[in-house]
Amino acid sequence: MSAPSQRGIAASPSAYRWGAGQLVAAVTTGAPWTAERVTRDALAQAAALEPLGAYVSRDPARSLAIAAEVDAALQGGGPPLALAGVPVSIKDNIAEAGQPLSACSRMLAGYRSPFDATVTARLRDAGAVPVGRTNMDEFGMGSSTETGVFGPASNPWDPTRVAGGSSGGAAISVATGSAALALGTDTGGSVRLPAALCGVVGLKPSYGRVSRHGVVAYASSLEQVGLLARSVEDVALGLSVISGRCAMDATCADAPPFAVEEIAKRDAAPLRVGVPRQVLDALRGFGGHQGLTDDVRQRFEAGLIALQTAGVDLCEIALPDLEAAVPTYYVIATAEASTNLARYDGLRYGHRAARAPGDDLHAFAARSRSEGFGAEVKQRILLGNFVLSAGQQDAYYMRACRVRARLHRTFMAALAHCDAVALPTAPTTAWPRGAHLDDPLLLYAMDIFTVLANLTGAPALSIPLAQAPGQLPAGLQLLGAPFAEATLCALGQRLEAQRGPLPSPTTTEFGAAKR
Amino acid sequence: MNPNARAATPVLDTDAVRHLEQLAVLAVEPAERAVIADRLQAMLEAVDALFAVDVEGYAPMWHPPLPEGVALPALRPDEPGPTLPVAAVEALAHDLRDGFLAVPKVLGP
Repeated sequence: MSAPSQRGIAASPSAYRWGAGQLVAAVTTGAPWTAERVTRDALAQAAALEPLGAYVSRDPARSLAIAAEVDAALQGGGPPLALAGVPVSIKDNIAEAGQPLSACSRMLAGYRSPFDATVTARLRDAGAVPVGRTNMDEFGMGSSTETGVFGPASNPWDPTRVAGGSSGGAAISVATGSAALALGTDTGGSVRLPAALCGVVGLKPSYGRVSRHGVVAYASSLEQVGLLARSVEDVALGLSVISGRCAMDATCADAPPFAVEEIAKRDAAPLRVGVPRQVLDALRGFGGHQGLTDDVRQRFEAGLIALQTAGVDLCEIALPDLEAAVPTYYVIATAEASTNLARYDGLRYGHRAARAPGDDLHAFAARSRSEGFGAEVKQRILLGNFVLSAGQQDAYYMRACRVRARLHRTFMAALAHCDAVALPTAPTTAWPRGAHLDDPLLLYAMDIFTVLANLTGAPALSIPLAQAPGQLPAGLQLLGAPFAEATLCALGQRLEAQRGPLPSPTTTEFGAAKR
Repeated sequence: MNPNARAATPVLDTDAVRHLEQLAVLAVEPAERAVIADRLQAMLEAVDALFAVDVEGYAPMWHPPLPEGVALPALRPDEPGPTLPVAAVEALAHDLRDGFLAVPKVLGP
């Protein structure tokens, strides 16, 4: 990415729509652009769009101080920084030393992390500037960013609709330009779903690609830290910074960081994408709920044609048992959640209830937990205890783990015929806020296309599809073989090039105009 | 046990929820219990799709495997190293007494 021309800089009142590569080039070149000035723009954008509920905590003085450090390092002739001056948002379940860390739960209200997650430390070392902590569903358990203790987030394209979840705040932050890059987490689609619903790129890396040290655990065999940005190039740049071996996480592979150069190598080879058309035609959804809407299906097909126009071969593949993916996911995720969240007992840290006379330890911990956790989290913990309980463990948890093995084998068999599998990211566009809160099964059904990547450990990339005036964003998702992120990025960039630039959400222009 | 064996979907009533609360160390408001029972029941019925999949011959997968040529790191040597500053951890405590974290009495009421 070349540095923006002086004319481009002068003509632009603000850097809030620039990509990370552009920002790095401008900030590294120096005046008139500095990390501090870019950070001021980002903070102003965040403040102007406060009603969307993207952020749950911001510390502008700290952000500006970090930006000043970046400028000083660059002016002092330090080494080039891969993310110099890039405003980044951090999901509220990823630790930053000294900052609040609540996973949007009352259980962790007031908690401040004593250390940095590996991913946030790596972003800082690369010169990125954290601008705030983003809204999410409590502990990541949701598909709409409506269940967090700080209240719901709104879609920047239509504030009466959801942003998707659980990394909804992260998606809003990049869609509206207060961040060029966002850290989210993806346990069952929590990066890709809000990315698709807000019209940005979302990457869930391969299992084992990125350290989870300092990330609040929900379902450990499924989740990864992911990235959101306005281009494939930027999520790839972000991945190159946060990935790679970590001495603090024994589940993170002993592998070097992702190399952006790999993308061009993959792009030079013929690429083939598999489409499980039969599954898409027959999909009945989950729990009797709707499958794919006609609108998303048509736009997905148009996206496939765009890929074909860009020289990608398409082939039909079989992806049997996809309808079992959501049930498998919810059994395994709730089982793992029930054990991961057992640590919150009100004794060592986290919400502690007032002690009532006659309380024994169990009653006291039960009251602390019941006050600290929201309804959805409690429900998942109860279900998790059920599927792990004596007499049910074989029927549910063990069976789900066997179905998972089968899904893995059928997915890998599909990849023998192609370089990546294409699926819609979500079966619908953004739905009205509050509409599905009384029907958790309908919300769970939104994960129908995303959970396969978490169950199999595959990397998955959601790319915004073309969006006509009056349309809401929708995404096309590409799933690849483990550690084949470069292939997905090569394909994603071809799709972006065919699609052309996307419109910006109207609320963004409103926010910019208000300044 | 035959991995394809299937009993009828269990019934989760308010008594079952009360039992799960014990296991989960939760105390649900009695008024909420029936709603939760209904939701958990609906969830169990929805996950019945698991039983339509033939899993004969598949060992349970606990976590995704790494691809060939990629390995987990060797465990680091079991040697003392730097830890978090004590003050940073103490700052998180509900109650501190004489350098110890004070917790509620754990034996008896």
